[in-house]
Amino acid sequence: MADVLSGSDLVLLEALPEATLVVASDGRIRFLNRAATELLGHDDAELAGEPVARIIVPQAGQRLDVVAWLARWADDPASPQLRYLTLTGRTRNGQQLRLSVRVARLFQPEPLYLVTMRDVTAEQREHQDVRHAYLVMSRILAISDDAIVNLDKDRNITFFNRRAEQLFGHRAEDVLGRPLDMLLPLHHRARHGAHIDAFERGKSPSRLMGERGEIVGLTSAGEEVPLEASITKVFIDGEPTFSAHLRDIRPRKEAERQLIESRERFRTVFDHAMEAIALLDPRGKVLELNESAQQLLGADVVAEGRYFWELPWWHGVGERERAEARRNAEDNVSRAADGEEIRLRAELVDGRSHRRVIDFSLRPVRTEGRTLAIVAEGRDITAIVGRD
Amino acid sequence: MPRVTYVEANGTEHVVNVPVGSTVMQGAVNNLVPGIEGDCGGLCACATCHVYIPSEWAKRCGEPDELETNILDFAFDVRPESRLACQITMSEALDGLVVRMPVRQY
Repeated sequence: MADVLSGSDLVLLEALPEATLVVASDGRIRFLNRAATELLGHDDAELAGEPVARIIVPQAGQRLDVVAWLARWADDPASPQLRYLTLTGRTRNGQQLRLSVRVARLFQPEPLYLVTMRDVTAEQREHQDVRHAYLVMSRILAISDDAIVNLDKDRNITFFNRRAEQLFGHRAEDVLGRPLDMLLPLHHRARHGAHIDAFERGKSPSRLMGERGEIVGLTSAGEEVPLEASITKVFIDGEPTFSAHLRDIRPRKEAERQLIESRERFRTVFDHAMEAIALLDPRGKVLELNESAQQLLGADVVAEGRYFWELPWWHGVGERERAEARRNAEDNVSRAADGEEIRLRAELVDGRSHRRVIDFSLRPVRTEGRTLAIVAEGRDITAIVGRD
Repeated sequence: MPRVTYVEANGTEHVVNVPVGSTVMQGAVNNLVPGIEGDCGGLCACATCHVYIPSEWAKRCGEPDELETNILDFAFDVRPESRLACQITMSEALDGLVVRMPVRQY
């Protein structure tokens, strides 16, 4: 069926390195060159005179008329669709290939279509994989609880996630393409710019929150917000891009302030109590001692971190009493750790080696059946007992 | 700003604000809505932003021109309500638009 083509044409087509088809206007195949037979697995004799639909197959749900498209493309060889639309080729063993085609009209008046085909299956799959990976990563960044802002080499904003919108009070579409400076207070811009320049030149690819000082952001309402940031740079084709994960540190600072205040209040109450109070962990180690307890123990004795029953105030008059007093104390702490409230009269030796009679209690602090701490409290009743 | 609800083939819905003058395809791509690819960037040259427009919205979205109708030849599972999202320009009249995505674009 290659009769309409002259011998020299055929030699030329056969030698073309691209897979090439010649198709008549009725959609029948006139010729396949060697590269095409290698690509599709069919040979020329097998396909000559067959409809092109044997090798270029519309997909399920497609209403594609291949011949009509060959005519369109032949009429407009510079058509942008030639870049984006692919045909699906089927090889002899049933494998499907994505084919990017170029079409030329070969002869007038009888139109023949010269179709060159390039297998773009792997290319298209890679392209899709990259797109899908990009989509997944972008969605991860989009919902991050940190504000994320990306910059190009000119320090213009290229990415602005939802948290950044909330933090700065700007919508992404209003900041994309605009300079970073709009997110910085006027008096910080020069210094911040110098920091980015230094980071660009520096050896470190990333700096994490906590490794650098705080920075200050500017909201759309003109409010200055202290921020901490992790930053990273990626050079693409020699041009830097920057990404910052930003966190508003006001809530953390407020929590720290409240914690310090709460601790100070606790300490004030704790130290002003008349009774000696020790706070123990559930294993009996001393966490805190108030002023009265410290006085009772002796000002220079360090109690924190030691087992309650190992404190020097259990020293009895003799070796045996001392051992017994300690055993009793340990036993009592262990019972309190199990949830029991213990109250007893104990004899201690204070920091000045005076014997003291103490109205002593151990109370567990419990939540959900678990002991968090034990409060040891002692009231010095030596004077009262002495009067008795 | 008009809102568009993009419904993936599996039923997942993405409600997105799309600026007037932008296209339904750009709204999806800019907001990381999966299921609309927009390979050619809106040239009406790739058929990878194929969507279905419910009949109640069809009129307000306008009729596809010849090029769009031709390009839809390359889309999969084409139905009477098929459109290319890059050819639908957002206007206030399209506030509340619902578009459904096919199972595949390639």
